[in-house]
Amino acid sequence: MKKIIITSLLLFAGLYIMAQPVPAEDENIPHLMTFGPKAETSWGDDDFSQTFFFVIPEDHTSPIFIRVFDPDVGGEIDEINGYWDTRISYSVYGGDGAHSDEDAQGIDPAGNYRSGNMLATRVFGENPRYDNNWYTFGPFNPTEGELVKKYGGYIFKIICEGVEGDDGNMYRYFVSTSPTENIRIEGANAFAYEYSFRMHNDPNEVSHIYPYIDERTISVEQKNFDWDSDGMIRVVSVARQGLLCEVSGDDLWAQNQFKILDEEIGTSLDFQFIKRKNPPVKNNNVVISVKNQYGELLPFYTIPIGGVPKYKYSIGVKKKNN
Amino acid sequence: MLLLGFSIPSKAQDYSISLLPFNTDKFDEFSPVYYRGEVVFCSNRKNSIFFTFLDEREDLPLYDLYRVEEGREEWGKPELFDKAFKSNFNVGPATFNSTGSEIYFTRNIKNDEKLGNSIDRNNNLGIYFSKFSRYREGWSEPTPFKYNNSDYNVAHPTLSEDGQSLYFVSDMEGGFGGTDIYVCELEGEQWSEPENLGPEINSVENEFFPYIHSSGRLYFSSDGHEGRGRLDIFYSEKINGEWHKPIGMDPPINSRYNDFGLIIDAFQKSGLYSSDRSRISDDIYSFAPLYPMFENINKMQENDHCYVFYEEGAQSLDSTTFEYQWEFSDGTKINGEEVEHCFESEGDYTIELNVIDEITGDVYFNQATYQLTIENIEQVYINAPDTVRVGEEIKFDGRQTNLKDFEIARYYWDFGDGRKTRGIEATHIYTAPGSYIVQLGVVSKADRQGNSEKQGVYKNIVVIGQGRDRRRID
Repeated sequence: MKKIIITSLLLFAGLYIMAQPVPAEDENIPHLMTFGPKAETSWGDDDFSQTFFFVIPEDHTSPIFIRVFDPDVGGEIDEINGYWDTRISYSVYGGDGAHSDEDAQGIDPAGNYRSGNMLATRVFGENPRYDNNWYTFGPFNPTEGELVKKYGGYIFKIICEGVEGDDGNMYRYFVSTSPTENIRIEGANAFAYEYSFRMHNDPNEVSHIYPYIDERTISVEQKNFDWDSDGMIRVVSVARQGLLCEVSGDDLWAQNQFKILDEEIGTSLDFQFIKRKNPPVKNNNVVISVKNQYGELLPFYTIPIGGVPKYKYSIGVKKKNN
Repeated sequence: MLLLGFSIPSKAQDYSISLLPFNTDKFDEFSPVYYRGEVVFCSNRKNSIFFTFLDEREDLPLYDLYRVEEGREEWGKPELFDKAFKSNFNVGPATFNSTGSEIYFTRNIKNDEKLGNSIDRNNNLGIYFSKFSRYREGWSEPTPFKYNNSDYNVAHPTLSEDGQSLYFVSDMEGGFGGTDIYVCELEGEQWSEPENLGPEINSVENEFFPYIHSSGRLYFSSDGHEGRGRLDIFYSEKINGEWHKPIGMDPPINSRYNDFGLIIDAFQKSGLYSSDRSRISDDIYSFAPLYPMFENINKMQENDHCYVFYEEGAQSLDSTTFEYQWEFSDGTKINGEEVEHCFESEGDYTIELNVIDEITGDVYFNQATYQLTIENIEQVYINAPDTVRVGEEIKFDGRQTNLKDFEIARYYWDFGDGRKTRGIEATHIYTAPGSYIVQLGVVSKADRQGNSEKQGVYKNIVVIGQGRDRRRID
């Protein structure tokens, strides 16, 4: 299961954040991805479900809208498998437990992962009206989300799941103050505990995700699925120049652990997905999650907390003969 | 020939000279020689109140050897060196072996004339040898040098410190003109045939009064080499067995009068010489260097402008590959994880780090910058090679001296081989292999009270023979 949150970031050191498309610009991910339940996992989706969380700042009072780009399964963007026979559901949840329920914060669509109050739902099949176009959920009153003080706002949850078929659904989100336009919400953000997405076909494109490292984190384990050995995953941070991670093969899982450096506490890591140049891999769908030493999933913020982490080079100088 | 086009540069040597107190106004004193804490010299001063043999041409007494106790401040009273050498004719100059037990001296060959007042114009000079006997407490009867000849003069002997070489002058046939300097080598107990020192030393005019120093340097007087007038004092050394072009002593030692008969101490700093610059008679002068003393000088430290640059945040746990490109503001670019770079000189430099992502191929320019200020060590600085060859002209430069609050007025060079000079830069040629200590001292401009400061350093220079491969030394 994939979970996405749009969250207020008032907790995070005065960072000025606007709600944004999901995936966000800094992530350089073309589309989120969810397959129909009859698809082979080797096509890139391990559980045919993806959850994102949105957090709306507590002081935001006007209605919000959750917009989905290309929600249907068909047309130019999605991935056909034989013929279009897939139906995908989108469900928006709010209220108590929407995020705080333990099952909501897992990576598997199991238990009470649909926790909270369902505020809206819609199933899409092949639908030219919404192909390469936007569908809008809402309006929602911000208070319809689950108020989580830790995140400084109201959390909404949207679950995208495959209902029927075996085609691949490629889509994006945008949390807006308008039902017809994408207008950012100041102070909002989004995060997920597991990311299922479509890699770029262009081998020169590098995608990113930004898990946040809180003060409880000592070490992390990254786990990825069906990477098709397409290049490499490199972790960069304010203190880490570039750590190469294990990369999975076709329909396989791969994982590795590494220690967190003191300077990385309170910042985000930059997981860079660098595609293999030759031979190029196309239509590669992948899944990734990151856990801390307690097995707790670390949230990937679409707008990285603390900004895009950049390794700070520092020149050391010493006398040659010393 | 090896020495073609070769010359040893001569810079002004700063000496002070003093007329020694035992000189007489009327008579000659000249050609001093060190002898057991005394100086033995020639003079035609009167030594008998009863009878004195006179030179019929000058109507002056003939020359004898005298001795005087050498003193730093006061000199003793001269007296006849030894009655054993008293003659009716001319005696001197002389030379002694290193222990002072043997003497070679000049004397008229015809020494048995009863009446010396009328000297024979054909009574040429010869060299005589005598040995001091402790048993007899006196000098032996002088014996003539093997190559004395009544047809020509053989005179002005000087014996090398090891006693193996006897230099002298002669106007024998076969020379280059006038009197020439010859040398005989001791072979067993016999002196070898005289060998002319060759045209580099012997001019078409006269060479007189040779003095062979313990270092091997030959001082002599000549009116045939380019000098300041009449007899001037020159020196030369052998380089690979060949005498180099003679170098004249600078004023005030040489003058437009006759300057000759120089001896110098073991360190070639101070000594005695003769001159007729008084225009009345020959006199003996002392000379001493004006070169200031530099106490507590330190060995020069080489300015180290070499640094190692590295990315100090890189951790070994990182497994990805980045290439670093280092840009230095002196125009140098070096790629490498950790690089070394030596700057030419002191100054302010900017170092920029460009990072090349070897995975993506992206180049990230100027990811870090470092401002580096390099200063020379605060010291007097000798800019000169560490290893040189014999005969090679070496440039010495003091311009990189870095002294704060010290305005340099004068530079003093001491090349460690007895030669010194002044100036911010100097050239020098070493004539023998070895390890030399080169010293550069600087004196500041005097303050209002007339006080000045001194600073100095030294460095070692290795001089290798011309045939050796310098790379082995390096």
